[in-house]
This record gives sequence, C-alpha cells and structure tokens, in this order.
Amino acid sequence: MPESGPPERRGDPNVAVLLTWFVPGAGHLYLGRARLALVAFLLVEGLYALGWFLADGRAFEFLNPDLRGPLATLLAPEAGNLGAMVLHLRTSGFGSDEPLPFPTWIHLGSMLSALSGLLNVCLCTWAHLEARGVRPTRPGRHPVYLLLCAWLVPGLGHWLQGRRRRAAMVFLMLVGLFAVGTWLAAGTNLSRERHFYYWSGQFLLGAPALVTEMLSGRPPVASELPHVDVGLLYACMGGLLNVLAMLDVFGVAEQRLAGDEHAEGRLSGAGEVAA
Amino acid sequence: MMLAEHVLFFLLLSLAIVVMSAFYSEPEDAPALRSVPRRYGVFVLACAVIAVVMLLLERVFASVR
Repeated sequence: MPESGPPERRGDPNVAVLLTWFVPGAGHLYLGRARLALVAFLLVEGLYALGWFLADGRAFEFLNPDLRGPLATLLAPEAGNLGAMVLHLRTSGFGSDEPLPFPTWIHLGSMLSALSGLLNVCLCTWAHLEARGVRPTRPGRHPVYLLLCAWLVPGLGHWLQGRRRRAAMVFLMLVGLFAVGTWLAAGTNLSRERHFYYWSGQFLLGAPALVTEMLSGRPPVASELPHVDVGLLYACMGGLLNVLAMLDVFGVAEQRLAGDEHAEGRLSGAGEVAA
Repeated sequence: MMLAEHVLFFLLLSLAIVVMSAFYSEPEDAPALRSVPRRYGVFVLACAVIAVVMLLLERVFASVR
C-alpha cells in the first residue's frame, strides 16, 4: 500500500535557494545530495570560468562607462550566479580606464558566463523543489528540465507538456517579436557590446537570439536607423515575455507533479479522494 | 517617426504582452484566448489614460513657453 502524507521536507527551501544563488550546488549539499552538488558546482562554475577565460575577465567592460556602478550588473544574466559575479567584479571590475582592444572570443565568453547565471537560476528552482521533498519519478516531466527547454526554444516546454497549440503560438509570437525587432534595428541589437541591457533581455529568448547573433557576425551600423529604438524594445520584450512562458511551463509541471503524487497516494487527503 | 507608426508599433507589442499574460493566468487555451479582447481593451485604455495624464503634466509643469 502506498504511503500517505505530504512529501517529506528535506530542509528550508529559502535557505537552499539562497545557498545555491551564492555558490552553485551548495543548496543541494545542504539537502544532503553531495554528488549532485559537486556536478552542479563543476558545471555552472566551469561555464563561468570558461567564459571568464575567453573574455579575459572583461565582459563587463561592454557596459557604458556612465552606467557602471556597484549594482549595475544585477540586471545581467550573470547575476543568477551571484557568487561568481561578485568575485568577477572584485577581481576584474570594469577594466582599466584606457581603451584596449577586446579579446577575439569575448562575445562567446560573455555568452557562456551569462549561460552560467541562467543555469544557476534553474539549479535554485531545483533546490527549492528538493527541499520541499518533491522528487519527480520521470525525468522527462521534471519541472526544471521543462523550464530549461522553455528557455532554450520558446514554446518547447509547452510542446513537451503536450500543449501543442500554445507552444506554436508562443514560438510564433516571441520569435516573431525578436525577428521584427532585429529587422527594425538592422541587427544592431545582436551585440552585447553595443546594447548591454537590451542584450540581457533578449538573452532570455534562448537559442533563437544566440544563434542569430553568432550567425550575424554583429553587423556594423551602415546608415541612419529610424526605428532602432523600437527594434531594440521588440527584441528585448521577446526575451522578457519568454520568462512568462517559462513560469507557465514550470507552474503546470508542478501542478501535474502534484496530480501524479495524489494519484500515487503520496499526498495527504489522497485516501479521501479515493474514497 | 509618424504618430501613426508609433501607435501601430505600440498596438502590436501590447498584443503580444496581453496574449502572454493571458496564457500565464489561464492554463487552458480556450478561456485564455477568450479573455484576450477584454484584456487588450483594458490594457490599451489604461495606457491611453497614462499617456493623457503624462501629456497634461508635461503641458502644465514642464512647458517652456
């Protein structure tokens, strides 16, 4: 007979999230999952370190000198991996005052450090679930896996949940916004060096934004662009609205997980439902 | 840029915002899509009110004439 009662809490979810935010894997270590914690730490910090290495620690030099300050990078995706970002700022800061040529791989490096921040946010949500005692039995339905898919390709998370019509609408709308924005801005939105904060927003669109950027070669401004502001706004909004899509996917995945647990009689009241 | 272009760009972007917020609020597609016209109307109207208030404030307090 299946066990009834709420899932056993393994720790305080808020503590697990805060620990993970500062040090990837620390939340899982706190919850007693040492091996997973080690793998997560190596993966997330390894990505940040590789990005740091490729960019020679100069990714934050993309930020306009007028906007630099102690809290200026909190709107960058790297803020998801707070410990590494603070260490980065303390070590390299915003670079020297003298303009120096950027390293060849700085754009790829900055993408990798941004990706590290996003992965750590996913790790935070995972730690929160684990702390609440939620452990999905089927990996394909894990809310964190679906969350990552929803980031990678807008609508993919919905598609994997079987919500095909919504998946198609989300993809068309968000990638369409990004495409129209990129067209209006004549591709000038595809450079973190040129538009640090708008880039952070469109990074949340996942692969469509990153692949387009890599393929475009970051075109130079060749003429006056009358709609560049609208283009930047559109491309950035495409990414920001994908956060809503990601939250939708995560919420439904969590609800379905709770439904599975009810069906398996693991939640309190399951006996009454069955009766 | 022409005012009409501004308004058109705004209406397009606000439609995407409204549809995504409807999807976020309603897990089922049918009720979410049914609620879009009402949400869109409210959103555009609220934005219009804010624009009018801002224009009035600009005219009253920030005019250099």
